[in-house]
Amino acid sequence: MFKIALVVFRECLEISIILGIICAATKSIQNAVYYIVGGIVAGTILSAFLAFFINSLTFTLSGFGEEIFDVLIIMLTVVVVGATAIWIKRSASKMSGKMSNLSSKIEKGLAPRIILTSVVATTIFREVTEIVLFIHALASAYDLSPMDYILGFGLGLGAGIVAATCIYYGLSRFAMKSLLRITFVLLVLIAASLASEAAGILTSIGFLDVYNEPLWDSSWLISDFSMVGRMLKILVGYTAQPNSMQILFYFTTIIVIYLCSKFSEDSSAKTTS
Amino acid sequence: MKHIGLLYKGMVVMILLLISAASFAADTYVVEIKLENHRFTPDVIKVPKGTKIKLIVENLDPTIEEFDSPSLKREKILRSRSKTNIILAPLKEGRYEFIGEFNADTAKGVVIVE
Repeated sequence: MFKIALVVFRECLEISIILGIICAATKSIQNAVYYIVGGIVAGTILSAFLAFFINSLTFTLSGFGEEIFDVLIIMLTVVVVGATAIWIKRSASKMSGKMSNLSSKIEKGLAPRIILTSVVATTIFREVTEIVLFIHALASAYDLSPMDYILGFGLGLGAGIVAATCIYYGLSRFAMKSLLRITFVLLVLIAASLASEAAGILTSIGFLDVYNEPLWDSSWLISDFSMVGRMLKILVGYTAQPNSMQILFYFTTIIVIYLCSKFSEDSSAKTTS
Repeated sequence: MKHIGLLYKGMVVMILLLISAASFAADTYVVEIKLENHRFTPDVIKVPKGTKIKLIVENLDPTIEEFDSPSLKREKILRSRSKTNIILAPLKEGRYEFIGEFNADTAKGVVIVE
């Protein structure tokens, strides 16, 4: 039971962190919760489908089908997380001057809501597939009582929700303007971490065969497998043995998102003035 | 929002370029590994440096496992009672640890490149 709980919690952690940040950033937007819930539902359904069909799916692409698929999903997540960050930055810059009464006035239009739904859906999709596969395999292999599942799954999920809530309330203590700034930075770092993860896979399978040697090894300090290592991986892209390509992807992502947010702010400043 | 569209297109082009730039080395060093009772045998895998490596992992357990190695930069689902190929680009000398994510207390091993 505790083993189920631990695995579920570990897989939930990334979802919890991203959801906590996004809920905090969008808390003043009317109906944002509907789009977030929509994203959760869409992501869960998609991942359940993938988990269901994974045994019958045959990936080709010279044996790297799964890896390429992973990379594509990760890069898609990078794009939507980046887009969310840019949108949040835009909202923050529009707020300057106005002190309060911002609720429901932050951003109009459909695009931000689609982004909001997709960022939640892609985050969920990446992790929930594994939870479904894990639970399903346990169910077919061992004669566990339903109580073990419900408790294990419930505990793991509950711990994930607690983590998300802590992040949400922790961030909510800040004033709206600094909250948006902080969430922007956090989301940019998360996008960069994901990009470096994708770079890691691409070097590992040999699609990128330059800059692929590990630069250092800090596993003696923080192991990748430790809880601290896992948290740092999600938040800032920590890995004990990064290669140059990962570092390159990491900083390129930060620079690209930053430049896009600058352009976006400039263009929105022109339209509002 | 048009900048976001641009960002997206850029990413797609980049990935397509990467796929088309795929290169394949001729010689591959093959290692067979079994996963039974949530343990890898052998759990110490010695491979030569500078060669492409193919790990054929046979999961004999009735449960699914996830091969996870941050240092090898790879996560891969190991379906129950089946073989999974993990192909690795040539590696530099060193130790590369891996675990079975769902049974991390027993399922662990290391690839030693020398």
